[in-house]
Amino acid sequence: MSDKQSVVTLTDETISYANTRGPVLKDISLSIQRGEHVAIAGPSGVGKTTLLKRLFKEISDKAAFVHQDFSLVEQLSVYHNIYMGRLDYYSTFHNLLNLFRPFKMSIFAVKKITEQLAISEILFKRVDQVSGGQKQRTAIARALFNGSDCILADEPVSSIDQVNAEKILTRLTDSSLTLVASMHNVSFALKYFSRIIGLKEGRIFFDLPRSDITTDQLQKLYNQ
Amino acid sequence: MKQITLFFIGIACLCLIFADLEVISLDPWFEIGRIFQGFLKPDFKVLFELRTSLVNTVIFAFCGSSLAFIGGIVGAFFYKVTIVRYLCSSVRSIHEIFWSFLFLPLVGLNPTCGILAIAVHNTGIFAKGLAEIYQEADRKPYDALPKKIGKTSAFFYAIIPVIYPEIKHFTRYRFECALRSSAVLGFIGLPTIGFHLETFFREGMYTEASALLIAFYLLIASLKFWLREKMVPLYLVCAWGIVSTKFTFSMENIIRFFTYEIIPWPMRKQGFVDGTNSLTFEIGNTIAWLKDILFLEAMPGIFNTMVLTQISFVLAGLATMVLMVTVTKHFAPGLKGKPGTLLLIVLRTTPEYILAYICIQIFGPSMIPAILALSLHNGAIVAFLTVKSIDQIPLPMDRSKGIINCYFYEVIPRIYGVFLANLFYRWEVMVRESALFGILGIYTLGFYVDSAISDDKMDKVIIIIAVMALLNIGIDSLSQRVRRKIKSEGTIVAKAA
Repeated sequence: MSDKQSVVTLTDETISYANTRGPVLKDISLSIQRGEHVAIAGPSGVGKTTLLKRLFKEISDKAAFVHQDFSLVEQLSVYHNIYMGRLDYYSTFHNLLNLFRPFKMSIFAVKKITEQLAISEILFKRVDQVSGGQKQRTAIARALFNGSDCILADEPVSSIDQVNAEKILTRLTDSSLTLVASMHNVSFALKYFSRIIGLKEGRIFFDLPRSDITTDQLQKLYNQ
Repeated sequence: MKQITLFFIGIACLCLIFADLEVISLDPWFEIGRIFQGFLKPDFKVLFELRTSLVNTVIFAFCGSSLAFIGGIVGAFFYKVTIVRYLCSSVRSIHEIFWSFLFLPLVGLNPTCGILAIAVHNTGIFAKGLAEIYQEADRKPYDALPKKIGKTSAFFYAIIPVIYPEIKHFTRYRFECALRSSAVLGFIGLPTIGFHLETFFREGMYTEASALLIAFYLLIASLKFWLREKMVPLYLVCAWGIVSTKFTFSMENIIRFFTYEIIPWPMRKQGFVDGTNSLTFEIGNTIAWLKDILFLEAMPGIFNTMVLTQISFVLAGLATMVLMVTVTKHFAPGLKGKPGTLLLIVLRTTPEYILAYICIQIFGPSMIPAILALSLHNGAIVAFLTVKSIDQIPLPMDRSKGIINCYFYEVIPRIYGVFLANLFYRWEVMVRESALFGILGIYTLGFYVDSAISDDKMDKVIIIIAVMALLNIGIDSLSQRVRRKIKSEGTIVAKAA
């Protein structure tokens, strides 16, 4: 379990948040390997987000997070929100100037990512003036712009139409990126991810390579 | 909002050209050091001697705001009538100190003068405040009552209980403001703490000054302990009981004031010269007289008032930005924002006038002390109002680790509209205070009122105060328009999302 390729490992963890009455996860043991594409599945409210946040806490300095609610600053442009992925890489002075007058170099770098996600035309629109799907793509672009080789994503394509969702999942899983994403869409999970972790009643119900998962297991995961 | 911001920054820069920004004092740091030392070693013994001035400060505030409350209720009932609204906004637009200047020749320099000044100014504020609370009240309980119930019963059963907590909150806040005004009225000679503060600061007696100021902060900070709802009637009886023994009233003075002193000088001149005090109707000379006042005093007064206001306005915004970082729970969780919070409370509680007076001791008489006082005091108030919105922002866990990065990217864009609306809400108050600072020797409108008072020219005083009121009403309606625009930009946002 603890070979060089492991990105993050949890052993027999009980995960809960003191100030919320959110789901509690028990006896969680898992290890994510470099380059793996892992989907977290399970019924609503089971603790998929809780698990992702716990993983992020372990590796916050070498991973990027895509929030389910996007966590974008609605009053800023799409460009600025994506740029925020690298705030900690640039000097504060550079960041402040960029806020008032975006640097050509940064625009160029951001555009490389937005072109893959088909949101280049709205680069300088305020986020509160774009659609839900465009917001979600902005959030993904921000995580990609961060440049980490690991992305934790909470329902990354929930607001995006089928065609674009598949394009984005292809982009995310077609690279050397390590990706852990919660997915309510099981067919996407089976199609694009190499490994699937099923959460049920606060525990890991199964943790298997895609090829080993049976329809029966999936039915049990979602049924009482 | 970007355009509004850039426009106002541009105006402020233009104003800098015309502002008198000289530091006249020889050694400001020495004076700052002395003031600081004074605050480290406050001489609390002096408080016993000055206890009556502390009591007077509270009494004036009680009597003034209780009258204003009654007046405000009447005003609020008729607030739909246009003339009542205009009347309210004009009495509101004149600062308490100028009201006391107007009452001085009527009742003399005594408690009545101070109480009336607080009462009249605040009547306008109460009328507006109460009317707004009533308008925004939840109507569901009222609409749910059976139709046969009389309007009066319905009002007392389904409106008053609904809006009572807000009225209480508003009244308490206005009482705190009245305490501040009451303290400031001492600076023109009324027997409140301002009277002694003026002497202490003028004479450089900072250990005494700091003791008195600290006592004043404690008085305001402890309001929630001693200003209990059930105790208010008792306080009021005591306050009015003490004041009634000092009440003076001269019908003769009042008649003389209205029928003679405020009549334009050219109409009185002939009678004054031949000793009969009769009036002549010199229309041509009166117009020339009026023109002189408007062009030689009111115009430069308005210009300087606005120069001072616009510079301070932008700096107050800047001060707000800085102060908010020090108090928001996001950036100062370990300290719980304590040092920043204390600074905020001190800047907010010290009346602008006293701040300006202190700054004058440091920098000498120019626009600098006034700008500092206005921007720090109002910056603290806007910060206090806006920081609540900042604390409610759920900052994501993967935000930038740099405070400045996080502040400018995550926080400011999200609260900029609220911040601007709060800042513009203070605009009209800042104009009023800028005009007032004239009596400290800066050439704003107050300067011309003050010199006319010294020359005993009440006719001129009335004209300049009227100009001041008009300027204030103008800025108030402009500020309302800007705030509406900011809000509407906000609603477009909501629709798109």
